[in-house]
Amino acid sequence: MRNEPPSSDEQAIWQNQSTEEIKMPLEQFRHKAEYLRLKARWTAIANYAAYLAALAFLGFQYARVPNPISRAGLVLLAAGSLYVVWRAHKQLWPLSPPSNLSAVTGLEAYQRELQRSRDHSRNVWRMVAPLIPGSIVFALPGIAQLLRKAIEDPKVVLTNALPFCVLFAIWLVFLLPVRRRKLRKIEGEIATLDRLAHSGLDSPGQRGN
Amino acid sequence: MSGIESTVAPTSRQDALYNDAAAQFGRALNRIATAYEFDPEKRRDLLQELHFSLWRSFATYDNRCSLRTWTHRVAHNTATTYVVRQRRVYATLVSLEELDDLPGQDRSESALDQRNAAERLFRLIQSLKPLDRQVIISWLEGMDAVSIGEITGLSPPNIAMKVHRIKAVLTRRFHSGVRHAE
Repeated sequence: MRNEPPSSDEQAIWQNQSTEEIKMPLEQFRHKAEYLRLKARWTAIANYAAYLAALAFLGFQYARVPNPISRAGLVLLAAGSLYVVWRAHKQLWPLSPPSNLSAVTGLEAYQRELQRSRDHSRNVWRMVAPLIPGSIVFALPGIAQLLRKAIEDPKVVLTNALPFCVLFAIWLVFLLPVRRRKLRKIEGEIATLDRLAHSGLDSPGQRGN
Repeated sequence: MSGIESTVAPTSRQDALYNDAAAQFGRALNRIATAYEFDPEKRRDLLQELHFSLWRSFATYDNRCSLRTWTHRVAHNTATTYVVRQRRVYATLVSLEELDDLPGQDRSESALDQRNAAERLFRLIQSLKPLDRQVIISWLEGMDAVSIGEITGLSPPNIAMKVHRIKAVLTRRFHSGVRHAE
């Protein structure tokens, strides 16, 4: 079906604009599809390799550290790392799923992309959270030592800890609210799209033509 | 003339469908790329991405909708993904309703030379959120409400309301100056 003839000035301006011509051979599409498939595979492999190296490092540390509490922390860290690898594996596999952009309407595609963006922001925490208990347990002997030193000479500990505390405070004061505001905006946009989707029960996107 | 030309004879149904769509709607794809990206270099990349997505999509084309609807849907959905991933949605884009409510801009813009109308139109489109952008582009392409609904997924009353707003905004921004000058 061809376009209707322009019925307004703006439609005429739009439809008569000069457009740049590009040439893309079909072979290029096939190469790009293959490249994307290989890239996804190597991304997954690099991810597994990085976590394998981390596990090897934790095993090495386990052999070196005599303190049983620190060792328990390393075991928890290893367990957390395995959980994170499993989550990453679920996200990365199957490799390069076929595009289904055409199967959904613009409303659904926009909603999905916003949800993906929101989940990505949330998943950063989900990826880090399993590593926190192990890190805390591992650090406990060091923290206890630090507290003992603080009681003996508070000035030295305060000077050493101050930069870290300042950075942490800046992060809490500035970055967290910015992140929350961004998430709220995304949630608001998703809610608006939800209302739009439900305001027309006979949404034509559900039909073919 | 199509915005893209194949140098390989179609070897499969997917290739044949793509060639057909590129020949019929290549210029429309160029216009869609223009509506989503102002920078010429990035626009070229986006246009290539639109064509690539379209070619890939035909692996699953099931004839449930027309080639035209399919092509426009793939192009808009690919471009929407592009806009969201560039994080422009939360920062600067507005809805048609917000654009309609913005005071003061129409008078100053309407006084400008009409030769700038095309550029002003593109800038206006590029300031819109993805869904509203899909509606205005489809309307500018001369599509009827049914086709716009098939592409966007919006209900007929919603489309009618949005097209009404589009016309109001365009009239205020592009015609009030002419009347004012007269």
